[in-house]
Amino acid sequence: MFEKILVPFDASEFSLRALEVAIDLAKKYEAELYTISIIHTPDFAFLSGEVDDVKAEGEAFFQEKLKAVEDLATAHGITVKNEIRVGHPAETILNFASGKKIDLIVLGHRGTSAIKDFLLGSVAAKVMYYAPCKVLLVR
Amino acid sequence: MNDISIALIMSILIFIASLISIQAALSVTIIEIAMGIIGGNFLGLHSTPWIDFLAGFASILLTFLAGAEVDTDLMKKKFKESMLIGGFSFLIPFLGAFAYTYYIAGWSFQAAEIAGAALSTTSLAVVYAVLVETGLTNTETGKILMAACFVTDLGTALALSILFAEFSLFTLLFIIGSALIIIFIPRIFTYIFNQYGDKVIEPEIKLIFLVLFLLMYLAQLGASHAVLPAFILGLVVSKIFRQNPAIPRKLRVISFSMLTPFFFMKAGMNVSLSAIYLNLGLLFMLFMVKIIAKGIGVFPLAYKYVRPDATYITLLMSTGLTFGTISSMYGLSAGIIDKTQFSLLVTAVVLSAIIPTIIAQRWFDPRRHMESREDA
Repeated sequence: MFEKILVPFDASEFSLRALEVAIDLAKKYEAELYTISIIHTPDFAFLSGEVDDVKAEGEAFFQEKLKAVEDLATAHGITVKNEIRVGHPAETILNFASGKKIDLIVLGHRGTSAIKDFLLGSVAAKVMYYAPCKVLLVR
Repeated sequence: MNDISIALIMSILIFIASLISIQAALSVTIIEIAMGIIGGNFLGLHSTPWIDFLAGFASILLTFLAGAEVDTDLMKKKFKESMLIGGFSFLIPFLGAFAYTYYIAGWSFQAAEIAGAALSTTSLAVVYAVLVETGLTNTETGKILMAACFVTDLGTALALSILFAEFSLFTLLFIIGSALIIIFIPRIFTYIFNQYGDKVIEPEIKLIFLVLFLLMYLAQLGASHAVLPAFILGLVVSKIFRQNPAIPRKLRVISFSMLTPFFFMKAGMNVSLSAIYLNLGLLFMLFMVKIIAKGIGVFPLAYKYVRPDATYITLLMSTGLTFGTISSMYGLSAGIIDKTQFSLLVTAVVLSAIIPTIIAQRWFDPRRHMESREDA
């Protein structure tokens, strides 16, 4: 039923829960498993270096955290393809899902940015509304 | 309110601003300006001599860092396009904003010059953030855009340093002194860095501060402004900085934690909400003058050199933030513009960082052309 499964991963407790569910589904359906981690560089920066610093910090952070993702997937006999992208979270997830022809997105119900969700709207809500495929929300 | 009370309230606001910035992925600049507006309009905060000093130094350090971000090789490669697009991106909005504020809004000649400088800027950082986010940094469009931004920045720095200088023998001393510093500092800096660099005492950072203070001293002596030499100094050390990225990073850490918050908070504290409310029409016109003048200056050239992305480039070249705020703050500190004029200029500058960026990304994102070209 599912051939390609995507988990947006921000290293939060919620995205780890979503990952566990996705691994389970990937095993069941023998699907390819992808994660996408998004670095949201600051909008309206005042120095280019500010953008570079946030990008470098984000890459170092996710490279470290994604080792645990690979270990978890390997322990379940699954190969996971991890991507780190720069951009606005919802838009980047949706573009990636379209580009890779993903047929299931497994989302944690809340990431690390509760204030951002309040200010700008939930990433999960945007993905669920605009996704080109099925979406599973994990609480 | 005494100094300690002001420092305490400002520190609380600065800390909250940094948290909001991280959570909302918005530049801390805009939030610090907003916090300054809250502090100045509702909490009774006001600037003090020590805030003025920190903010003044922050503006020179920011200018230096902006210069150090210039990719001189890229500028050489895209010399013709960047000089034309960047040059007109500065010149037409400068003349447009000057003419509007002087002939129509009735501002003084010098206040109109400040308006011209503040509204002629393009925010390299805002543009760069968009290019990184859209993955266009290494495309032809991205390279031309970046190189053109450097030229526009240079135009603004040039205008601020030349237009308001009171020429005397000391001005000559300022010019010669700045030139000598710019010629010799890269060698001295390299020597100091090789001999003593990468130590916890950070002599190379202290040397940069020393040189910036020296430029400020010479500028004061020559009744001018250190913006231009600070920008050019940044430009000449940009290669050294790219080879040793830890140095600009340390400077940014010091700057972001201790200096720039006071600069942007001070800018916000001097923004009067009632002045903006009473002059909404003028604010709208200042914003529109900038956008239209940028369109006239940039679009025809962008159409010639990067036709499919001309509107996108024009909109991104219309963004302004750091240099616009620096220009306005200079005008206020030097008594050239009043608080109402300052409030309007800073608000127009901040709006120009936000609105054109959103429009460019929402409706003119070049990735759409690329996708449609690929589809075809």
